[in-house]
Amino acid sequence: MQVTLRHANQPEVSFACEAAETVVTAARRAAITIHVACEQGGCGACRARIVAGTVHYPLPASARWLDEASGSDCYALLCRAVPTSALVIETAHPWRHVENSPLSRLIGR
Amino acid sequence: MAISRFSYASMNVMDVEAAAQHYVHVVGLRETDRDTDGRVYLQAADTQDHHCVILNPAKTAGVDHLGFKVSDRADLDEAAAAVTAYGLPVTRIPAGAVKGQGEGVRFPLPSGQQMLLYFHADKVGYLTGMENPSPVSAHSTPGGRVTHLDHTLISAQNPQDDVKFLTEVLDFSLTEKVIDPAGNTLAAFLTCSHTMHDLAIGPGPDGTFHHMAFGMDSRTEVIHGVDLLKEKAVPALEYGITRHGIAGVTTIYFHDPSGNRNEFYNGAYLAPGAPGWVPPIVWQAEHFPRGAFYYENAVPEAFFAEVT
Ligand code: FES
Repeated sequence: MQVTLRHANQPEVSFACEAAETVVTAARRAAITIHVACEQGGCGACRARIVAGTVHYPLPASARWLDEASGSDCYALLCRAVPTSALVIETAHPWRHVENSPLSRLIGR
Repeated sequence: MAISRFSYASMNVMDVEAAAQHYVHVVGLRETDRDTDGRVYLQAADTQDHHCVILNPAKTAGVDHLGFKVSDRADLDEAAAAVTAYGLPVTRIPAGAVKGQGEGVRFPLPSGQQMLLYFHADKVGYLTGMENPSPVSAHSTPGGRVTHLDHTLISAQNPQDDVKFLTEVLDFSLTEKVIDPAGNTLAAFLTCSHTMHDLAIGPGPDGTFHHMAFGMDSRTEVIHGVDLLKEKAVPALEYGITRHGIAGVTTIYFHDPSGNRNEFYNGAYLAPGAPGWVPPIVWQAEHFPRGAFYYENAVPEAFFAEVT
C-alpha cells in the first residue's frame, strides 16, 4: 500500500507499506521518523488525520484518541494502524528524515 | 489525618492478558489474584498487601484511580469530612468493592484524577514468605528486580490547585517544586510517607496519567532492568538510563502494552517529618531541563506532552 504523509510547511513524502506493517514501521524503513512516544496505541503522540484511505488495528488502540475524540474528522494512531488501502495522512507533528549514510541505507534506518 | 503511603494504581488497559504478561515478565511483579470482571491484581516482591497494580479491561488507556492507605480506620471519616468541606464530591466504597481491600473513600483531585483512601488490605505476604525467609529468592522474578511501587506522576493544567488541596486538606508535604518566573508552580513533588515523593504533579492535560515508578534496590538493578527492556524490545524513552536532577535518582522510562508509562528507578532521598516541616527545594523553570534529565540537560519533546 502507498502511504503519503502531509504536514504544514513540509514537502509531502510517500512510501510503501507492506501487508500487516504499521505506518510507523513502514516509515522507518523509508528513513522517515514519525513522532511517537509509547508506540503502544495509548498516548496519542502519533495521532494523525486520515485525508483519504482506510486502516485497521490488529492490536488495540486507545479509544480516547479515535472514536471518542474524532469529531467529524477521521483520526488514526499511526503506531498501530495498518493500511487497508492507499492512504493520505496529515500528521500533527513534523516527521524527521534519517541521515542516509550507506550503512544506514543498508540496514534500513 | 494520616495517609501513610501510595499503595496502588488501578490502570485501564486495552488488552489485559498482554498487560499482565508485561507487569510479570518485564516489570517483575507477581500476579496475586483475578476477579470475575476480568481484572488482574499484581504485587511487588517486598510488599505484603494484596496488590500494587490493578489492570482493568477498558477501551482507553490511563488511570482509573490511585490507592492510598491510611494508618487508622477513623482517618476515613476524617478525610471524607475534610474533602467534602473543601467542596469535592466524596463516594463511600464498601469493603470488597475493590478486591482484597476494606471500605474506602473515593474523590477526585482538583485536576480530576480519582484518589481512593482505604485502611485494610488482605495480605499475600512477601515473595520470600513470612517464616524463616531467604533474602535471595526475592530476586527470582522473571522480570525486573522491583521491590515496591514507589510513586506516581499525574498531569494537571494548574498543578498549584492540586498542591493546595493535597497539603491543606490531606496533610501531604511539598518536597520540591518547579516555578516559572512569575512564581507559578509548573510541577510539584509531594510526600505523605518518608520518601521525597509519593505523588507528583506535572504540567499537562487534567485527568491524565504520566507514569508510575517501581523502586529497585540499587543502580545496578536499574542497569539489569534496562538490559531486560532492550532484550525484550520494550518501547522506552529515547534517554536510555539517565538521572533526574530532581531527587538525583537513576531512571529509565518505558511503556506497557497500552502505552501507560512505567519507570524503573533507584536512589530517592528520604524526607521524613511532620507535614510542612521540611522546606521544599525550588527549581527555576530555566533550570528544569537539568532537574528533569541531569545527563542530557534537556527534556525530550514527547516526555510531558504524551500521557494516557
Ligand atoms: S505513539 Fe503513543 S499512541 Fe502511537
